[in-house]
Amino acid sequence: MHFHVLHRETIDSTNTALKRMASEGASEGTCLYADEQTAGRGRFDRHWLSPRGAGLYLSILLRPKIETTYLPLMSLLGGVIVFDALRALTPADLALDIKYPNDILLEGKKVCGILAEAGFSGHALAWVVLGMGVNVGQTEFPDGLLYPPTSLKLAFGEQCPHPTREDVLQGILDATATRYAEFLDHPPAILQTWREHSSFAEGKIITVSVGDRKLEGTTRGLRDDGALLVETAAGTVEPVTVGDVVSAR
Amino acid sequence: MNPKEIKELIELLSDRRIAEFEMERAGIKLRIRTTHPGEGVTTALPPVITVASTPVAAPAPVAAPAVPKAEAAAPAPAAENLHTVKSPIVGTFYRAANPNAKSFVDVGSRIQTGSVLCIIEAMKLMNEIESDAAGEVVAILVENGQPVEYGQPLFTIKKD
Repeated sequence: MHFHVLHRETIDSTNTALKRMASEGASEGTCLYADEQTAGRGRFDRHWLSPRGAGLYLSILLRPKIETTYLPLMSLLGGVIVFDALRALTPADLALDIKYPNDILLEGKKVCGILAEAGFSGHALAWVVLGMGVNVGQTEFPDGLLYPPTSLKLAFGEQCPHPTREDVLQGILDATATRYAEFLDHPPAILQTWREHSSFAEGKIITVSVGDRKLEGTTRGLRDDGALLVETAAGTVEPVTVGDVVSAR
Repeated sequence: MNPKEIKELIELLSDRRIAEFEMERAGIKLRIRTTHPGEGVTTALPPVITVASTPVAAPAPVAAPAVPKAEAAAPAPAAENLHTVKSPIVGTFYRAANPNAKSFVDVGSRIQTGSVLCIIEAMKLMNEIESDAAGEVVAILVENGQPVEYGQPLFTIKKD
């Protein structure tokens, strides 16, 4: 696939801007990244801290021709793409993982968050935007984040030069080309790929926060639609389709 | 609005899975709430209907910007002018971008083709559902935060 990469010094949110471009007809493979986001956001408009030059704030426009029942699997696809990109750039002794569905953990802390959005006109899928915020050069984070954060710089330490934002950008585009082609060819295969990449697929004790409710249990694989199955203490298996995995061991 | 028009509306709503319908015109506020039977039960319960005459001291055209005067006097919309937006995906229905934000649309909102009507979350993928018709939202058929099925009616739009 061909990428058309656009760079902005500062922008409200790369996802918001790319969605606008998508509705104006931008083609698949259009990518937008910025040095700084003034209104970077995650799901439900949660603020995504985007200080100038510290992170890679990137959004990629896709227009997949797939059955819409497979569309939610693109959440998992986004996680696999960033995992692959960072794996290729990171020494093997640094642990990488995917926290369900697509947060990337480096040494057990969140190094990347993904906001996957899609747009339908009535019944027709018009666009998918995968937004990625990779913490590259941050050395400090505010308190009170949903999950403990890290950056490439913090995880690599003082001695070892960490990849630049441009390295990460290139790695993500390479991984997108490969994994997206595989996905279009046979969407359900991403389930197995994700399982191979994530320790959260099986046997992980997790807590999921769903609104005011907390669900605790042990992970028992993925359902065909991408839902994470969690076995509770009572022995019932519940699919996680909404909410956040807030802790794990 | 005369009894015949109300009856037509009820007939229109009764064969759809409509949770709530609100309409305000010419001093009358109509609110229809349907009670849905449990799964596996196929007989539909009759809708619960309340029609309240809003006391109108004086004509107040400024207070109702969403409904042009000519339209307020028009008869109930014919079925062919109504367009149903159905869910293209299985997921969770949200009327706003976040829990504290204003709803994308309300009953009575004027919308264009391409206006965002709601978000349906499916496995953390946030799907914006845009209207494929221009007109007025006359019914919102699902409550915020509820699961929706593929093909489930979400909104009724009275097309321009």
